[in-house]
Amino acid sequence: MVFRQDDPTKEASGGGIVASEALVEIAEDDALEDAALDASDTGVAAFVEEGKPLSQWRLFRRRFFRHKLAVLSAIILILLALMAVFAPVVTTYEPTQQDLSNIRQPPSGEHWFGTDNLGRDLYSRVVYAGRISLKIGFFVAIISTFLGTLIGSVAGYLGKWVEQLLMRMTDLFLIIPGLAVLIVANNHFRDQEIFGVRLATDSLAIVILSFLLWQTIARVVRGLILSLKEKEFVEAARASGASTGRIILRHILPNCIGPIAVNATLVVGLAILTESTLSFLGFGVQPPEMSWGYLVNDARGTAGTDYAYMIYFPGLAILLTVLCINFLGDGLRDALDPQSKH
Amino acid sequence: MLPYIIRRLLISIPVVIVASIVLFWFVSISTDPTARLAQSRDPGLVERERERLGLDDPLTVQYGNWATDFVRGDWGESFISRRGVSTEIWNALKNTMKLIFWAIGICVIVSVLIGVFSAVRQYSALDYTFTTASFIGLSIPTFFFALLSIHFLTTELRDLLNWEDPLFYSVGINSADDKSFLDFLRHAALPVLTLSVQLIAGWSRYQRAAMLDVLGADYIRTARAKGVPRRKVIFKHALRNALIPLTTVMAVDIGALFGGLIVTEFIFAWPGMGRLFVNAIVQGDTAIVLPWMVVVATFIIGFNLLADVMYGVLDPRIRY
Amino acid sequence: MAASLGGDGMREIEVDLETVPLADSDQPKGAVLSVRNLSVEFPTDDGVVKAVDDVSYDVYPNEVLGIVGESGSGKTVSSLAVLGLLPKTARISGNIVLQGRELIGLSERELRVVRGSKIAMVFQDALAALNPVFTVGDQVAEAIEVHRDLSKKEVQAEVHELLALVGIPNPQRRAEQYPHEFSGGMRQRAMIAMSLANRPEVLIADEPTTALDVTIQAQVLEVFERIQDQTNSAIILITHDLGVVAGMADRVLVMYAGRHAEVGTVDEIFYEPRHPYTLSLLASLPRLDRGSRGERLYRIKGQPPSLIYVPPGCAFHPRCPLARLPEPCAADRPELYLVAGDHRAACHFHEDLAGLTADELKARVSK
Repeated sequence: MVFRQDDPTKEASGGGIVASEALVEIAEDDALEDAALDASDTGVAAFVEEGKPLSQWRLFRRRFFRHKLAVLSAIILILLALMAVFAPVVTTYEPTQQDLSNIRQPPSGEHWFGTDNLGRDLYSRVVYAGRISLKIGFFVAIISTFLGTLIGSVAGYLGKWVEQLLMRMTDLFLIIPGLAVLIVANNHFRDQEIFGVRLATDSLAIVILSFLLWQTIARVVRGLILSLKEKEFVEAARASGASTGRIILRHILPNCIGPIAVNATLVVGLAILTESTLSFLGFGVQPPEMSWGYLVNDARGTAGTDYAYMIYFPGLAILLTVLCINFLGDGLRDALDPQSKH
Repeated sequence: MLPYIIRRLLISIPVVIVASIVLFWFVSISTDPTARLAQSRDPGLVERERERLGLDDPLTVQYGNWATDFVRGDWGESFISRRGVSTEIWNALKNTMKLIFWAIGICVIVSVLIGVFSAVRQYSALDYTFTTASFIGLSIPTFFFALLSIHFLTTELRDLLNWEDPLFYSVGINSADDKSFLDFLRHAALPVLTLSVQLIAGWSRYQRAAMLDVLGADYIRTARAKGVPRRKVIFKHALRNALIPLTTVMAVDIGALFGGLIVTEFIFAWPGMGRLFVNAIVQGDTAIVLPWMVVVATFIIGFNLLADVMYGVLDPRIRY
Repeated sequence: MAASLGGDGMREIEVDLETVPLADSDQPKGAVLSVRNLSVEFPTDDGVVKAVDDVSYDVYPNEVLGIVGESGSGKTVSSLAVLGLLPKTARISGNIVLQGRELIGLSERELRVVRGSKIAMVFQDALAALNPVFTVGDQVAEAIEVHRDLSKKEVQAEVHELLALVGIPNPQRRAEQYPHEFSGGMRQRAMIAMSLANRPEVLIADEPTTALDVTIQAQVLEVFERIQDQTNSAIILITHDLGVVAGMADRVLVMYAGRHAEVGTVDEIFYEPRHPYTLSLLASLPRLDRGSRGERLYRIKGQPPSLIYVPPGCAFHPRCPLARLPEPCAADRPELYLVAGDHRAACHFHEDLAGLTADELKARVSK
């Protein structure tokens, strides 16, 4: 707990942290449920105090940078993103360039990840596939966060039947078999036109995945709004005459950003995993586009042979990315919640 | 207690119905039972088939017909195998249940132990190891792990041990000539392992968090102040409370497994629900899709109900 | 309605402290628990928190010692230190002597012998302090079973007796119920019953009435009084409520910023306070029968200090209306000076405070 010491008689006592009897707790609170999977995680404790945004931000930064793992993950992710953006710069071969005299070469100085069945440079394929996978993850997170926040806050703030209706809708997503629905949807709409436009497989994947994942964010946001609505500082603002809009904008939303950011981060990871699974099964990203999942599918037959490196690299790419995202999300969550310490 | 259960049960029924409506609508707009006939040279075949299946009737009528048939047990026929859909699903269900059964047996115990240990010895080297392993387990795509396990634990292992046959098999549920239990285990090992990695990763972290929460509670301090030995404090006072949220999470996760083993069964050619579904989609056997989804949704709802009931059983505070 | 403790039929509670070495201290004769120079520190990211700093007090059988102080004064931490219930990160030094035996440094197993039998503790929020998934009867029974070997029937009988002792009606039925089915006051009584299970020599009650309504408070305090009538236990009553102290305590220890400020009988503390902090506390009690209309409520200016950066010299000096700066108040830490008999105060100018009343203090300050 942080108090601001502004009493002038306090020159003798320096710093501003009053230790409370909370120190006698036997174990630290270290709840680390994965927010994307646990719908009731609200992480409200993070921003309950109405504080000057400046000092909260600095505190947050200080806490975040203490998580070396999270910082490292952030750096790796930035590097991956840069590689994806500047793919032509970091690769020497074209991802679709076949070289039939050089098929199935193990990793070497020439081809860092080796070559596949048609002699294509695996390294450049992985990098270019990364473009698609990362793009999908990123956009799904943006769209679902936007949708989820919108719907969740409407439900949370308006309450009553609006809330009931919207929440029942999100509950429905919990009950229907998600992956199966994604498969059917992808299978069908792949050859169809939506609103007169035939979507590329990766864009289709973005749309369909967002459609499924917004509800995790919506649930979190609604929970947040519900608990914040009842907090004293909102009552105080209302009592002093602030309008509903002002209350939402200046008091409630700033306190939501943290948990929303954490969940959005985790959604990126979830989206990448789901997309790669779909593509692996043959229902997600298909040629001419390719993603990491697709590459693994392509290499499926090499399991148990000497050419299994074709599976390793795209698979490790997924693992590394999602792992970093999870560490980052974890670090963000810890940095936001003053009650959990490391 | 009983009224509580009955009330939850009654609430579940309309949920199943609504789910079936939504799924029916979804399936009807995204699958076309006559697609496989498009290649036929008979021009009127598609027309007649649509007539036969009542595809031009309004959706509500279609749903009504379908629902009455479904409830009576008439789930239609698979286009490919010509066997009853209910038979197909039932056979697949049995095989999936075998996987789930073995996986749960191992995962529940292992997760709880890891979770308790990690919480009690928080910040120890082993705790960090488990945490990292859990993160990896949660971040690794299932298919990747499955392929890795096939790569390292079948032919490689066989060569390493210099055996004739691999220790673990990676295809199907039985060998053609050996229906023994041991043979089954050798086939089930890798799929169960793949499944377990995910379950243990998630559950052990949840258990750890729940234990940490509980260990910080006042009543633990009271128990210690009474002179209760440490072991008893952990396993009687703390664990009992930490299991409450954990068992509900487990129940919900298990419910989702019935339709969620798609990738695992696909890779290992395990003749269960997941494989049935993928094959149906790939082969255009749309008759299976809707009944499959409704069955899976019912399992999910059922296990959610179980989770609710267990919560009531374990936590006296919300019993009435 | 109250059953009696001890007496025939009740087995003597034997707790084997023989393995615990005799302490090398100046425990006064007759004192059952003596705390000498107790210090508890917690290392944190922002510095070392001195939750308890060189505190000493004695507790005698059959008396109530009230420990008074604001939140953060160290009163709870020092009691947890007695029972060895502090987290592993805590650094404890000093002596805690129970009937001649040193408690600091004991192993967990040795401490378990003491906890719940020789020294028992009642915590503040009974709803949180009782395990929600076990019946009240089970939990009281556990307190007995952990220390004594009795048959199930005997344990049950004692459980019912204990519940009846603290004034819980219908003990047989109540024992089968869960904590959430009890009212606040009854829960607190159940906690007290649990603590009495093994006739402790010392009963530490940490803010036992803070979470309760005033009327229930009175009932719970009455339970404590009744217990003392029946046994020889010493009771340490930790509270921030001076009213509770005035009604219940025989002797009082006033703590501030983890240090002892003043110790004496309840009369001495209330009528002849010799520490400015004590005086200020008394002055800030709102009184309807004194003072004039329109008079402002007295408050101690400033806030309790950070326990990481405790003010040098006397910890209270930044807020003390009578401080003389910089010498000696900001430079020398006051010892527990002797005022008279067993009345001691940690103030360099305790003599000057003789005869000063709370009203005079208020008058002086408002000038």
